[in-house]
Amino acid sequence: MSTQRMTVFKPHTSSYRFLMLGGYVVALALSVMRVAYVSWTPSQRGTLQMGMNLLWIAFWLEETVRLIRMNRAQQKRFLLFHKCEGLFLLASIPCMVLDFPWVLLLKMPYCFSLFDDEKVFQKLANGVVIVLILLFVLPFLHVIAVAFSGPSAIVNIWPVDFDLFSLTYVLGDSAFFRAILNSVLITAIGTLISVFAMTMAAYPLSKKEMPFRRTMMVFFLIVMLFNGGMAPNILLMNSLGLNDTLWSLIFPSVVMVFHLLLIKGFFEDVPAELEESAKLDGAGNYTILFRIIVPVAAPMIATVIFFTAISFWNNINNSILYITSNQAIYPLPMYIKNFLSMNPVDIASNNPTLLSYWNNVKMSYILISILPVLLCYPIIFRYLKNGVAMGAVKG
Amino acid sequence: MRRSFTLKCACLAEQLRKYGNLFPFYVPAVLFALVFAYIPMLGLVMAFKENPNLLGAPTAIQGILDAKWVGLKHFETIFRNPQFLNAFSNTLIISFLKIAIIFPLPIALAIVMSEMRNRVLKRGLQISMYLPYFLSWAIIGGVFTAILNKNTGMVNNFADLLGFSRMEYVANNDTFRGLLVLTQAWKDLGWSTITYLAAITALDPGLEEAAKMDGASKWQQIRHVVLPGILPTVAVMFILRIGYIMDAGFEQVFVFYSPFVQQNGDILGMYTYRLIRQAALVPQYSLSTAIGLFNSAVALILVLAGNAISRKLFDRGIW
Repeated sequence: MSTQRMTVFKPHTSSYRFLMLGGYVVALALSVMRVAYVSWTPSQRGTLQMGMNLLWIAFWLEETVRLIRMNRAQQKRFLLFHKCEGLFLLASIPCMVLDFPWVLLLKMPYCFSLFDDEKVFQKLANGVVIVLILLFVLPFLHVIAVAFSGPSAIVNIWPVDFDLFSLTYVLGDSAFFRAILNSVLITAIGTLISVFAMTMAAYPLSKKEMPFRRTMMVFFLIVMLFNGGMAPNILLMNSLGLNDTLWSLIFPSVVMVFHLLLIKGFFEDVPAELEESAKLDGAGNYTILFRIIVPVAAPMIATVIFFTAISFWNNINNSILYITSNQAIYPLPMYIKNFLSMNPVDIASNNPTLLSYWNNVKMSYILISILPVLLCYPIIFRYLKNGVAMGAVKG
Repeated sequence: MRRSFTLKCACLAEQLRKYGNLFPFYVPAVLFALVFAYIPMLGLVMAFKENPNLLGAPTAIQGILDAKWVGLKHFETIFRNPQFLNAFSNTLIISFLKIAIIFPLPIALAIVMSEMRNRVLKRGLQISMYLPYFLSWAIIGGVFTAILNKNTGMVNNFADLLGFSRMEYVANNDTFRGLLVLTQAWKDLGWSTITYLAAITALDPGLEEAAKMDGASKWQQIRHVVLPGILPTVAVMFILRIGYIMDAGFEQVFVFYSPFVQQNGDILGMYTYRLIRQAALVPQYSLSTAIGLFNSAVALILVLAGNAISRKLFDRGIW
């Protein structure tokens, strides 16, 4: 099969291959530069356009010549396998008239297929991955750079006029540490209650013969699939008197049905004999659950604990809805959000130094609030292995 | 008939005797579910009543009970309200954009990562790309507002260098949806890649080797071996993602929102929120509830349908 394809005319000399690829890369670069036309003088633009068109014509001629030199059967097979090429040949002329250079992209498969495609793939993959790494890392570098920079400097990814004012200002803000403490409290209490309640409920649900099991499943699934919306929730919090308290940031998120289903799945995998033998020894249900089943499923439950904690730590929905006036209980993300949306003139009007450092101070806040997650990152990374189970849809 | 009924009864009695003492285990979860999920659902009656006068009533419940029934009046109001229609269409458009642009990315990335040989780069990408998923939208909002800032941001500095004029991205109606898609992709890309990486790892490596032996090019290996192999996973993830179309990301929009972007960036969540918290005179609880009910109902139908389809076709679902 593939040897038949090889009979299609293909000049495989290495100078030809590199000429094609080099020309192609230059053509691509030129068409990217056309986007950046703004800063070019008209004469430079003219040269650019000319080079572009010359390459275009060269590609077009090369392909036409190649097609002409084939016999009928080869041509047919060629167009069948290199649909892009044929399309390029047809679309080139109208595109040249319309000044639309991106049709050159159609030429890419052919230019790369001249080389060993495993190597090409690896090179391309490395390029894509490097770009992605930059995309993920550069924003953080910018944050760090601005946090350590002096006022009113143009900062990109390294600090300019190294300065610790903004960082010391943030470290001296007691309300900020109050917010961190709030977040820690919410996360700790919330995770404890949530995982405890979910583990308890998952135990009877994991018993195949438990009466009314389906009813209870539906009861919990409804919680997952349907909700009362914002207004009833806000009114409920008002009437329970929980508005503007830490509890309003914990209680609405306690029932995490997805985690319940996960834990239930783990429990179902625990061998029944373990439980039977404990029962013969006269152990009660609570002993069985917390002394036998939970320790067996501990790694899985640890994963659930971890994800519950993350969702409490990052939640701003509850703070948006249920905190109206009491800013002392803002958790960390809400404190950041609130600070970022403040008008600097309101706070710092009597402190001109702070006003000039405003941008740097904002980034210092973000930097410090990323730190806890960054410190936990090695642990997070370890849990990601178990996290595959969480990301994957249950089978 | 009768016999089977008594049999069932006896069986149930037997089961109850055996497992009855497990019922207390439900108590904490059921308690929280009843109070914080089911009672608000009862509050949905507000959608069919006058806006409750909460200042005049001793308790919120009394206020809701006292309000007059108005039938479907609020629904008629919202469907004639241009602000609602705008928010509704924005919700759909933003969700569609997110699905169309973001959904294929982790699949492509997972394939690239599973095939690439450079261990160092692969490890570096894994370390850097999972981090954003564990950050709050508030922080991501801060980071992106900073790097896109018109006067001091990195992106504009770079554009300036290339000769473009500086541009506002966040408080700009034209770029707001793009910003939402970009930041969502930045946050979720690493995380969603895990699922597909797992699916690819589960494939039989012999298949690809065999294809290579037969002279399949890299692209052919990917197209004819890897893609069909992970297609069920992709299909299930896609169907389930469609189920969440009514949720365009409240926290995300809240973080980036400003009055400048109301036309293109207002979503249902923001609108219901504004009706309560930033209403001009009285909080519009009833209107807000009506929109919430509409939103929840559509979302419920979509999720149920998606799950049913996924169960039927691929025997997999969320439950």
